[in-house]
Amino acid sequence: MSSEAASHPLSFGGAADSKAASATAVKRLPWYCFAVAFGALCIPLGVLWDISWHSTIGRDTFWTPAHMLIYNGGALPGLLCGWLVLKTTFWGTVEEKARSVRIWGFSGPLGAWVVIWGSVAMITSAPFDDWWHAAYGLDVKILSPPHTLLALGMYGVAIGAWLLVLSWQNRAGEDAPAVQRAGTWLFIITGGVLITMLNIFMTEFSLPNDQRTNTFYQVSCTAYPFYMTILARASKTRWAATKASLVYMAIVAVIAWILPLFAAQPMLAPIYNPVTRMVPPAFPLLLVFPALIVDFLVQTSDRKGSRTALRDAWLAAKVAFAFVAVFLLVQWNFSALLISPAADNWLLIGKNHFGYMARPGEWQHQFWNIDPNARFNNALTPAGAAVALGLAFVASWIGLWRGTGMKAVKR
Amino acid sequence: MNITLHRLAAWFSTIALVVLSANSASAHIGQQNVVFEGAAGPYPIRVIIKAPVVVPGLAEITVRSLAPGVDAVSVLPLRWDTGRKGSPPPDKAKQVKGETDLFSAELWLMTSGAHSVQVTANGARGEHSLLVPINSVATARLGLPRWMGGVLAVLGVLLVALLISVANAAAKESVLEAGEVPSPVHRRRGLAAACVAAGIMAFGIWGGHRWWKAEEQQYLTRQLFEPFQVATSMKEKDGQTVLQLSVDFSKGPSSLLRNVTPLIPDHGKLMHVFAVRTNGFDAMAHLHPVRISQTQFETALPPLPAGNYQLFADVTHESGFSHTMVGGFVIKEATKPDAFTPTDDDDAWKAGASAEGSGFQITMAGASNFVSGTDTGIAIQAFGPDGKPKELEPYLGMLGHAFIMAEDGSVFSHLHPQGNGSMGAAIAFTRREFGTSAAQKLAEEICAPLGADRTLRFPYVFPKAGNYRLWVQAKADAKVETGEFRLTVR
Repeated sequence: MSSEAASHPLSFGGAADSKAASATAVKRLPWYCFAVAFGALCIPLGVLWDISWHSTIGRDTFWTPAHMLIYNGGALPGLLCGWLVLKTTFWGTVEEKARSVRIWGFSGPLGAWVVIWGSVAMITSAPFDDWWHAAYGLDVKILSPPHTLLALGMYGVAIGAWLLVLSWQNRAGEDAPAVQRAGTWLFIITGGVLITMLNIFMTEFSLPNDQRTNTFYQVSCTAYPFYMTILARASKTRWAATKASLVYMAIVAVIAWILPLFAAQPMLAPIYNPVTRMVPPAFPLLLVFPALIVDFLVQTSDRKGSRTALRDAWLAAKVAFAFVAVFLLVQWNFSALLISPAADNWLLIGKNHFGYMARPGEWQHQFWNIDPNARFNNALTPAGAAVALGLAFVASWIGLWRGTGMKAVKR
Repeated sequence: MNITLHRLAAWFSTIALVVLSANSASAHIGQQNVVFEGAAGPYPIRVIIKAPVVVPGLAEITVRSLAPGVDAVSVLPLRWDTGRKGSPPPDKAKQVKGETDLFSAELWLMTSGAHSVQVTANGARGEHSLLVPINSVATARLGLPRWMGGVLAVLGVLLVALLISVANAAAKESVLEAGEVPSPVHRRRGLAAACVAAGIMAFGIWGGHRWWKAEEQQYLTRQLFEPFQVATSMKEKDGQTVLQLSVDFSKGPSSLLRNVTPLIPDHGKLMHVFAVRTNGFDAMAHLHPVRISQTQFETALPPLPAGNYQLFADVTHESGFSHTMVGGFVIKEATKPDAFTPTDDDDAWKAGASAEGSGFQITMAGASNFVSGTDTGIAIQAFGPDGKPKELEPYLGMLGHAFIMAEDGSVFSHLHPQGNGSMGAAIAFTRREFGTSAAQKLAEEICAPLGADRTLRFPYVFPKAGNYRLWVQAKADAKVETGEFRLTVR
């Protein structure tokens, strides 16, 4: 490939007359990688905004800005990757085709295919969700079958974007530091997007008032170590899990600090909590602390080389133990601050994340489901913590295995 | 949260409307519309609210000004336990194009239970409101339309096939250098990945199906409102036949339990029972059982012929939640007239030509070409044996009561000159929101005398076409007369 064509901002990294150039000749990451990653970033931003909209105003239309952001997050990467597949299949250079995977006679990067799958899943969820509302009422909770399909579609888009930039990071040689640097950063940012989406999907278990239950620690210790170990192993830069965790915390915190700057009022009854400003999300989890130790352990182990399943199992055990210990220590104590009246301010959000339908009361300053005399007592127990540790081990082991696999993705 | 994209469905397909099968309505049977006629201060208005069939859902509201002077209308939903304090700013109703006296609006009802809609009329004589009670309850069981099943199946197959292919390509090709041909090992890995993906998808579809069924079950137990069943039994007491009714209010959907507060009288009675002989519709009774325990009521049965009787029982709770319960009983032997003492002085019945009342005649006035779904209403007049209009007296707090029943039993409504809403609920809501004197004023308005044309009107919207039976009861010379009619609704 000629460097002239390769550096063209609208090129797919190759020129029509170039047949034998290597991918490393590309000096800049193709623009569509940025566009797809931007689309993926729009999804959690839109979802957080939409949750706030429903907690504050209640009433919405198809055209709310939050919805637009979500649609953009599905449509932009989906259309772009569809076009990328068609372009590569029918007008692609030999080189472009060579760094593609073939499905049903069409060629395109693996990430593009996953993005397309995600977009189709998001579209499928639309009529399903519409019917769901007609059959069971407009749902006011996150976890429903059509929302899960929508969420899977969103994950598809984000994971596809992740794989797309990952392949560029992995292919880029030392002669293309800009590609590697941009690919790595986009890999970390989309990793942070994925952690944010996971966190949003688990909101119903993860509010500060839930952070002394078995469920919270078990789902958190399964989900986050999985992504963190993948990031730590597959990234070509150090402290990737820490940086991705910071991306997650920045997304949630910035949204939480910006939204209340806008005045709004509920437009649906019953209003138990007459909010006057856009309701923010709860303060993010302090994932940066367990991520630091996950990064440290994985980097230290990987520097020694010679990865085997057994070595990874031992590493996963250390990661699991470290993650659970740090995460438990941090969230157990930090959540006590977050639910206290001292946190009811713009910085820590406190109880300000409760929407207009939440009846104000002392319950907002209490941990939930931990009363030993209650019918449903889900308080964290040593046995529950042991389960969380076991889940963290399995998730970390699989994460390390997948991280190794993702390190090898070239197409 | 509603991260739905749900209106994309309108883009996705222009396919027909979903067919809803509403099994029952809020305070009546088979009736989704609440019709309420009253005075918002100096403005007489008629309000029709089409309640949503799922919760949260959208109520459609039309407001007709019955006299000139109303320039603008706004509507506001009030939940029984939060009232105006817990309500958003009112929604302005739009004036219907080409009409000067008709306004329409839509309102979200977000939670199950007793609500009222505050309708505010604005004009030269100021701003005045009235409250229309309405139940917000889920009544629909919606099947998946065939087209929707087809669309979802096609997209589902596409998603499954694509994911399996992606898994195959990921393991087989994505880890190869550019241009490298997959080796047999990579092909085998691809096949294994495809099998794993297929297994995960199969598990996901199975789990999703179970989850869907569990959600539906939760909807059925927590949300879906079906009329309470009244268990009946007969006993002999003081030489007469007594009908005993038993109802367990804790058997309703759990989302409504907070609304099932103690009963309050609706035009003076805790319960209004309407019983009709189903073979022939030739005998009916309007009775007012007395409560003998928290769950049991009883009433002496008037002299009715033997046969199967369908029973509808209207009650109103303190919350403003009003509903019609259903049941039935069999009279094996006709009750003897001389052995009957009414449990309540306002009990009234009619069996064939004989009736408890007499002395005047109730006739249908005005048009009788009824069309379903339209704001038609029913008009009646009462004449004495001399052919002159009869001076009607208040009966149960108003000048007349009407009962409408579809011959197939799918519709039942208890009507008053103010409509088919519970007057007890309207007064309870008005007392809560506007105070005792406003509630007393409303009670007086309910019993307003007839106009110059001596016609008693019952605003109503027939929910569907078919054959109906109508019974109208009015009182004159201290006697209650029952007029009986057969209607065909197009």
